[in-house]
Amino acid sequence: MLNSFIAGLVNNATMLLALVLVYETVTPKGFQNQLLFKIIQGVLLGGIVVGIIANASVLWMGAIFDTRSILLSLAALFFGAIPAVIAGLFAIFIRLCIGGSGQVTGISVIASSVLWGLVFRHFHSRYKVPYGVREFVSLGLVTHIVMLALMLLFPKGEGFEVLKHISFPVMVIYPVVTIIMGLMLSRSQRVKQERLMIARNAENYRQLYESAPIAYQSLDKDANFIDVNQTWLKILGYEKHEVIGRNFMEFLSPESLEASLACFARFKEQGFVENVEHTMLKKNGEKIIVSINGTIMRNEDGSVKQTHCVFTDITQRRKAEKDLKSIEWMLSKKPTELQVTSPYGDLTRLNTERLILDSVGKDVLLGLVSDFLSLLDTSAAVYEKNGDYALGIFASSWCQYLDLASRNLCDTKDNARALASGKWHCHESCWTKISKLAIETGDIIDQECAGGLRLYAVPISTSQGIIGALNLGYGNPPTDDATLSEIAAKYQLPIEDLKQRAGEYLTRPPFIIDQAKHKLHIAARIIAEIVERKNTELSLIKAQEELNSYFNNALDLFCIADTDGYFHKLNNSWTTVLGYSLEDLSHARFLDFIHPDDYESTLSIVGTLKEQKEVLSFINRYRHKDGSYRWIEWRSYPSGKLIYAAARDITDRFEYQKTLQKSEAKYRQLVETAYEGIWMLDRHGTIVYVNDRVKDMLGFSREEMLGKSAEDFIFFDEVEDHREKMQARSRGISGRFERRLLKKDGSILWVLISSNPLYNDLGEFDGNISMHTDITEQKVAEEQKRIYTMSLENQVQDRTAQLQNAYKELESFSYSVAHDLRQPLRSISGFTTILKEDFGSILPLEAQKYLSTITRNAEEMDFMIKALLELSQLERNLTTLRPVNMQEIVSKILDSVLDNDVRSTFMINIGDLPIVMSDYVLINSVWQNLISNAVKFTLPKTERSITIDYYRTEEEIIFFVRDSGVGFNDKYKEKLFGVFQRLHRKDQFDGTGIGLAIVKKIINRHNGNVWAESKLGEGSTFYFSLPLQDET
Amino acid sequence: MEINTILLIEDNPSDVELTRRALTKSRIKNNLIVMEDGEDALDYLFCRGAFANRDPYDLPTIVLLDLHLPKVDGFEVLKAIRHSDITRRMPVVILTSSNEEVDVATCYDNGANSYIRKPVDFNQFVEAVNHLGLYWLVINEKPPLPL
Repeated sequence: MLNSFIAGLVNNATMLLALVLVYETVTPKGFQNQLLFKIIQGVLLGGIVVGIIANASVLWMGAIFDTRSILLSLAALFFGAIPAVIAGLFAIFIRLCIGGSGQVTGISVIASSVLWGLVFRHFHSRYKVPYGVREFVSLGLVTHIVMLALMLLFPKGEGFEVLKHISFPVMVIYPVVTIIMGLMLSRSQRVKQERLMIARNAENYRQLYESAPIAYQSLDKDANFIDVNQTWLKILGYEKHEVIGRNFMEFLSPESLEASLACFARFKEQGFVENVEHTMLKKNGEKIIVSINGTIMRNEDGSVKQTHCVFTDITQRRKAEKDLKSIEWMLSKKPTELQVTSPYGDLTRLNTERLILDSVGKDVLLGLVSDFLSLLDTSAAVYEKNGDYALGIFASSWCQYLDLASRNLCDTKDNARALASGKWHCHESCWTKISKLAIETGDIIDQECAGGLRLYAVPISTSQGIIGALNLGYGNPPTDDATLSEIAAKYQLPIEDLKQRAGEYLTRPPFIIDQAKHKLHIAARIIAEIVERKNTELSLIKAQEELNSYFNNALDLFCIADTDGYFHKLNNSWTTVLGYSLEDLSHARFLDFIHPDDYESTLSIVGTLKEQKEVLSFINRYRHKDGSYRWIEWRSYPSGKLIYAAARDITDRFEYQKTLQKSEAKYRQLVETAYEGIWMLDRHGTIVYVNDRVKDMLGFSREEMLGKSAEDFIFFDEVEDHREKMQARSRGISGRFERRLLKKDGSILWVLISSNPLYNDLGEFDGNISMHTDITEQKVAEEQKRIYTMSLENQVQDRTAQLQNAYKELESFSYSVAHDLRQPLRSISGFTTILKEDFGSILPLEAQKYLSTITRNAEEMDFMIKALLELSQLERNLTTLRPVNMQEIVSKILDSVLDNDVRSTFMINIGDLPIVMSDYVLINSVWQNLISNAVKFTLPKTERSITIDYYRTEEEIIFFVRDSGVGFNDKYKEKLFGVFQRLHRKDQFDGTGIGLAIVKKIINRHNGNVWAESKLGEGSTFYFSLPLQDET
Repeated sequence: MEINTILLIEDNPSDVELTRRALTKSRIKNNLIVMEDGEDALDYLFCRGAFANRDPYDLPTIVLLDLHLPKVDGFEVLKAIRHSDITRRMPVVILTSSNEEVDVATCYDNGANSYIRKPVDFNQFVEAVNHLGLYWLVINEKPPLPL
């Protein structure tokens, strides 16, 4: 029975352990409400308690034993008061239900177990060490010793009986089970705690990651987004789903794209990036500058898995830096002297418009412009409407540099040409692209210039319209490579220079730029104002001057007087009319100058004027300084006490009538008796007057001519000309010309006419007056002369033509001599030869001899014809003079004329022959003839010598060929040089007899002479002279 | 075309006779065709008029051309030969009594292949014809026929 009780206990303990295990797994986790959790815990534990009590080991009726003490003490230890108490209440309830003798003991055991568990828990928590075996052993022992003690509560000594039965099993099994279950719970709790810690840490990190003030992003190897944090999204303004999976490059500003691609590649290679700057685009399109740091996470094979990058938005920092820089510029800025001149000179000198330049003046313009230039250290230009420079200043170093560079591109020193070349990029921007536009549109133009800055141009407008434009440059030079290299190429400058200069450029603060623009507007208005005032001033001055000059220089008399009878102001004309000086007249009493007879009428006129009535025509007489009186006609206008008067001296007109009558009579007489024929035509060309002389000239009486058209008396083919001349008169043109008139007898009269237009009183054309001088005789003589001259010219032309014909005939004659005459010769020679060849054998010897003679004669004739031709060619051809080496020619000819064998029998002396200006071909022919003659005539002699030399006289150089030949009789020497002249018999010496004729002709054509000396049998000397040319 | 033809354009019968004899003496046995004026010569070469039935590609191996011809003179004949696609490669030797520089120059300018002045002496003439035949009929490579 005891054994089965112990077995029941072990069984119960095992069940407890199993249920606790189940409890561990089913207990819900993650309750927010701790109290609720603990109640549930309590209920579950209560369930277990109910379970194990229900399966208790029964000692006897009412005395049941189970492992509730273990469960409750450990529940109290591990889970605290609430679950332990709830489980305890469950246990008490079920124990009460069971009832029996052990009821009180059972309930007190339940209470003590919970109590002990809570006591241990209370003291232990102070050490914060996880529960260990020590705690469980002591808890087990204490709880169960107390339990055994409580057995004494059994009624009527039942307690000792119970103790006897259970002491051993309780003290052995219960503490062991307590240890096992304690360890179990302890381990499970430790695991739970660890898990909780990890979860809490993870949550912490997560929060840190999401809310960190730094943006995080993770990209895959192709730069597609894997993850970004909240800060990232907040900075760029996207939702997370809009980002994940898209490519990083899509979020970059286009200008930063290329550099970023390169950077990403480098990043993947190196494995990290540090402070790399990118320009990113926010969802709203705004640009931000970010500085990125990051590392690469790699797969096991070393390939890129993903990137971890963080970045901060440094846009504000950059802006701050920039602002700082502009402040730096302000701090470092010093007042600078404006540099007005440029190396290529002053462009305002080309200004032809000069409206702004002259009206405002260079100094004032400079002052106005320096007002904003000194603010900004920039460049400015003032243009006239046509683009001429009124001012141009480059104060910024960047502008100076580029302007000069583009000026040099124009490749000309002339500024005007440079401006027109289109290569002066700064000028093109400043004027053509921007300022011209401002003038044309009247708008403010704010545009980028060729040099990468901005230009701000304002039209200068006056009430007369726009008269020019004014501009300034502002902004920073570009710093990106693309734009800089573009500028470098355009201006042909080294890009390094540009980069350096762009880098050195100090940014101007925006409010200063605004200020400068504002001042530019004011300057434009001031310029406009000055020009306008100047214009007004000028036109006023001009009007005043015109008025003064009119007043002073008008031929009419002007004066201002008053109704009291005094002059105030008079113009110059008065001095001529009255002979007094202006000083005498000014403020003099004009009534004192008036003729006594006109005094009264004048006074009454003054009265009229006093009534403020104008007087349009009034005539009185004024006394001249010489005592005579001048007639003056007045037009007067009153103005208060003052009288404005214009007057005219009409004295002459009064006296003109009389004079005219006198002079008319005088002229009439003159005209009537003039030797020239005079007539007057009305505007229609009708004769209205002729003088007596016309009748003598033409034979028509005055009556026959008056009222007729002048055309009736003009030779028909000149009528048209006459009408044109009348037209000219009507335009006020006088003329002098010759004309043929028809006389009454039908013959022609040549006249020289001098004709002038006539006007009526109204100044209208009213015909003309012409004076006619008879030039018929002169004309006839001229005609005769003309005919003679013409026939003379014809004669000359005829003769020239004849000469040319003769020359042509000569040419064609010599041509046919050459060809047509030689043809029969050839036939004669040819057929004679054939005859000899074919029939020679049957011909008698004498006939054969004749045939030979025929052949020889034909050949000789051919030779003569050739020589003749040569001579005629000499006539036809021109000589061309050039330096000819005589020595060379002579040597060559000797070589060709004498073969070596014969030469050795000659004694030949050649002097040191000079170079002479002559015709090479012709002079060659001369030497050829002379030398071959010398050889020919020397050969028969035994003593053979030839000397060729020269000597000079003052004007000539004389060559000679001397031989020791047969010579000739000196008395025939005149015949030597004639054509076909021979001094020797044909059988003695071969030859045509034409060679020396050729020599003579050639030398004569060189303006030289040829002659010969000889003694029969002793040899001869042939000379020829050539005029000495200048050595050059 | 097996037998080489020589075309002699010459109006003077004596000169024709002398040339014929000179050729014979030089043992040149080619077919000698004589045209007595420029017009006939051109008719022959371009197969016109009386020669309309002739094969235009049957060209003489060489043309011996005098300059002074009735109707159409030698210069015109030479120009016509050089202007025709068919005849422009045909060798033309000027055989004349003129030794005017102008004439020589004009002939070469118009594409004459050779210029020979007829000597008055018959033996010299024979020698000249001999050289001429040897060179143009034996040594010289014939120009290809135009297509």
